[in-house]
Amino acid sequence: MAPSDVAAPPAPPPTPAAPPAGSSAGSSPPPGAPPVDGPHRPVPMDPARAAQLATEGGLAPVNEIPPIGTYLRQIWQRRHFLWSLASFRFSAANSQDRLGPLWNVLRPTLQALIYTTVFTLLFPANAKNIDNYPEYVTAGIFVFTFLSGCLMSGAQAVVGDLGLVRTIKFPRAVLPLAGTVLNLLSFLPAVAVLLVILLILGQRPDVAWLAVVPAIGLMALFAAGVALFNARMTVIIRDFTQLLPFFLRLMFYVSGIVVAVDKLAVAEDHAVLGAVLTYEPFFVYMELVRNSLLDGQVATGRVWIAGAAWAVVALVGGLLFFWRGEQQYGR
Amino acid sequence: MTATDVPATDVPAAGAAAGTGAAPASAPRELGKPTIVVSGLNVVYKVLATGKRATKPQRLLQRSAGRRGMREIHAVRDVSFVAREGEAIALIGVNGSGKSTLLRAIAGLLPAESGRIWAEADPTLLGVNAALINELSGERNVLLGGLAMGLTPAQVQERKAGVVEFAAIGEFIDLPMSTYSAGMGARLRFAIASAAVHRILLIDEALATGDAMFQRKSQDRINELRAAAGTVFVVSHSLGVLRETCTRALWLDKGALVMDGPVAEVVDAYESATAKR
Repeated sequence: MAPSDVAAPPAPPPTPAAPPAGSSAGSSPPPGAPPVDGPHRPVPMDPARAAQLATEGGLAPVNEIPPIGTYLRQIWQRRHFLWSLASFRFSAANSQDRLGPLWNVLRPTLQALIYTTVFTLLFPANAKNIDNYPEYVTAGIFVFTFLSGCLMSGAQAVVGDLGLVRTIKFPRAVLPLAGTVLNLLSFLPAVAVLLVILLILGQRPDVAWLAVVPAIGLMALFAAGVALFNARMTVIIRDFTQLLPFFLRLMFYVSGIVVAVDKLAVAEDHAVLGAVLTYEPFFVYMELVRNSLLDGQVATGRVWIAGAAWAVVALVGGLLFFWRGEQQYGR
Repeated sequence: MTATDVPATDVPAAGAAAGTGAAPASAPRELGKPTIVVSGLNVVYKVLATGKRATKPQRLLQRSAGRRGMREIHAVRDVSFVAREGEAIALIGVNGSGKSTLLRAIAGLLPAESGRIWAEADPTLLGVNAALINELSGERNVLLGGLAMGLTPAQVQERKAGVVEFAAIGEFIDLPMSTYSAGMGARLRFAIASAAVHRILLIDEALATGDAMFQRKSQDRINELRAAAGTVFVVSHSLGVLRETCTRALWLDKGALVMDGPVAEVVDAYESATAKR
């Protein structure tokens, strides 16, 4: 192949194929390529000349990360896609089961029933310290189901839809966000069921219940942010999906679904540990939902501030982290 | 294959033939403004090689997890060209020469290792191998595909009937795509992808699947789309079709662009080169 390089005409005649090129220095055919010489030998293009040509023609870069503002606008433009993806998946999810989407509610309800039974009859130590224990556990399980669902579907969002990613160009953040919306679709009926359970267990409906709306809103923003983070983490390291269930199991115990972790002896003796247990996001959102719905519990301003702060930090951080990887997702 | 397999005499020689060879190519018609500029493009796949066992247990710990068994495949090497309005460009080359990878990079679906690509509009990849969402019905895939490509809900609703009719999958449209035969799935995917009008169209082996009737139909559809599109790229192994439908050809070998010119000359050179292998 070397001879053809040397023998290249000093000024290749312009063909329709070959753009008016600058210099041909620094490029040669790879080893093993047929040495094609003559008028149609591709002419290497000077990058600066290419950029100039593109700018003059008003062309836009194709496989580069758009500015964050543009990216957010692209996501907004695909909002119908996001919504359809979530709602179609939602209706297809349990289509094989006789009870269909009812399972979205049945699953956490049965879990709550089991935990309540076990921790009131077999290990009653914790239950004694908490008023309205069944309600406490039920609300906790429902919130945890939502959060863990969002984190898991976020981790699967890009790698699970590679076919779509490799076929159609759209802002990839739509996928983890649609996963969050999908979880929200099964969580909202669960909240309705939770309210019914609360009424059955003797709670009185109250205007204060409305506080659950901003509580769920903040929690959903937080979950969307973490889902975005998880989606890119899984693309970087596939093993992330193996670790995630263990992390979620840890959070299950740490964030006080069956125990009031903020009132544990360790939390009260140990200031730092106590603060961590009280202000970690899972517990914060669980508290916000419980405080809105259960009698005798009042949300403090601090918990609301923590909930808002976690939502902002997770969403902004997750979005920026995911956006920085936008070009990696098609591999 | 080595470099010496292909004598340089297969193509018009550089010296005397250059003037006469280039004249008919550049003379006949005025080409439009650039629609795609590709400059020094390299695409590298990083693949986890499987099936290899770490010989010592420590190895797993010594190397970081991301590096273990990582194999790099240089799929596109330093490719540069400018595509202009009104061109229909064939990509030719043996299997694994990087044709499809180049198309997917132009479509913005693959990251470039280095080099840049500019395009006038978002290029659309039109293929039959494209996967959608298997657990959803054909109808819902039609809606999702349209929305994902950036159509408005109104446009999608408007075109849905046409897409379903074109795909000709009858009552299967209400069943999950996982129940479709390979041909039905391919037809529906092609129908969805061709639902929108595209300024820059990338066609990947679109005629490879489907029965004879569908091949005829899809060829007609491609011709329609091509008439509306500014620039078209076609990857195919049927050189006869390419000769008829394209104006220009890019010959790729092991990821590198070896020849770029009028379709007849490039296909001739390619045929004589492959015949000698």
